[in-house]
Amino acid sequence: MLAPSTFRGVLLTVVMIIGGTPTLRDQPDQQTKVRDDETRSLLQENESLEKQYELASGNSFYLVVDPYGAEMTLAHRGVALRRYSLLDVQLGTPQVAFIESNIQRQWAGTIWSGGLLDPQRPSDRVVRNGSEARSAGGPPPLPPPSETAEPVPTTFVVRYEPGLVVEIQRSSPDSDAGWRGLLTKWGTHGREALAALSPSDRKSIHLRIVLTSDDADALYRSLPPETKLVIVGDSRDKRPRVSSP
Amino acid sequence: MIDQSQNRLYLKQGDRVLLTAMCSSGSGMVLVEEKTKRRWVFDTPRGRFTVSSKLRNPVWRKPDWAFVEDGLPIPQDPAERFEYGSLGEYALYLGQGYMIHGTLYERLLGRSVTHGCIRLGRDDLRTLYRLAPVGTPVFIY
Repeated sequence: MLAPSTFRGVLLTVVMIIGGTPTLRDQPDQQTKVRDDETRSLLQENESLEKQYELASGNSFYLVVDPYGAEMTLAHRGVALRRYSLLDVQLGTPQVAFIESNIQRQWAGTIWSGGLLDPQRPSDRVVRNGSEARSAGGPPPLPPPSETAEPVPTTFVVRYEPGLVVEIQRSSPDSDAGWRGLLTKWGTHGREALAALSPSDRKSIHLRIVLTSDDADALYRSLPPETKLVIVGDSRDKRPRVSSP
Repeated sequence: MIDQSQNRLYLKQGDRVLLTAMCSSGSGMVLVEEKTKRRWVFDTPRGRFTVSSKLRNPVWRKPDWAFVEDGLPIPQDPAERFEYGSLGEYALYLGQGYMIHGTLYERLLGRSVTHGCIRLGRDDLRTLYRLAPVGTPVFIY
């Protein structure tokens, strides 16, 4: 028969072994999880780079949206033409009665094609008949500057098929403050409600991007037709966040 | 790199901007010849091009549309097509009939007024001619 002190010692040892075993068992699981996360991250990055390489090898203009780097780049043949700082990025996925729908959509790493501006830039081509001769030696008529010729809407959208709608909003100190800020927010909610009613839009992934006024204007005026788009990130991240500038 | 929406030309070496210049790009106008119904659309194309050659004191060989636009008959004698001085001191050829050249109308720089070519002011054109060798890629969007 064991002495009480010895018994207590043995009991304590047994308790420690039983209590410690899950911890010992957890360590390999945590290490595995870390390795899995790192592997997944590397695979995502690799896939993203492969898509960008594919776009750079083609003949189209394309946008690379990087929510984590807070940057969007317009590029062609692998050359960055213009960079836009993202002030905010929001991602919306289709829902039915506030429940995520079963529509599986890989928003990151997918090459979206056929970008269509909405509303479209006004196409007011001047058509001249050759018989209308210009006055000899006189200067040509002065066209209006681009600010007048192509007014930029406050909010516009680039639609990709199938299933991605990129909404561009502009941010300025005036629009964010006071009553204007409130009206802007209500306008946004209104558009979201309309999109939920639209047969095509409610099945689409919505990406809302906030740019400075100058960048929003430049993007609307210069975006080439049918610009492709790829989003860098992990589709399992439901709420990509813009990193702090 | 040419941004048509802002009519700006940027000469870059890597990420370093060597020159920012105001330019003029295509007007987008459509010209229709009444008799033959031939159409010309004065757009500057988008995409990647290359400076294929450079020329000093370029001479403009006027195409048919230049006569149609002025309401003039298209000359039979090829020599009547040549015009001196209107392209400025230098020209950089991009292929497909498009060039970067000078202009007599520098007050119109910054506006979309050309027949498709890119126009630069005299000083900027001289700088570009000096710094951009043949083979320089040109991105127009």
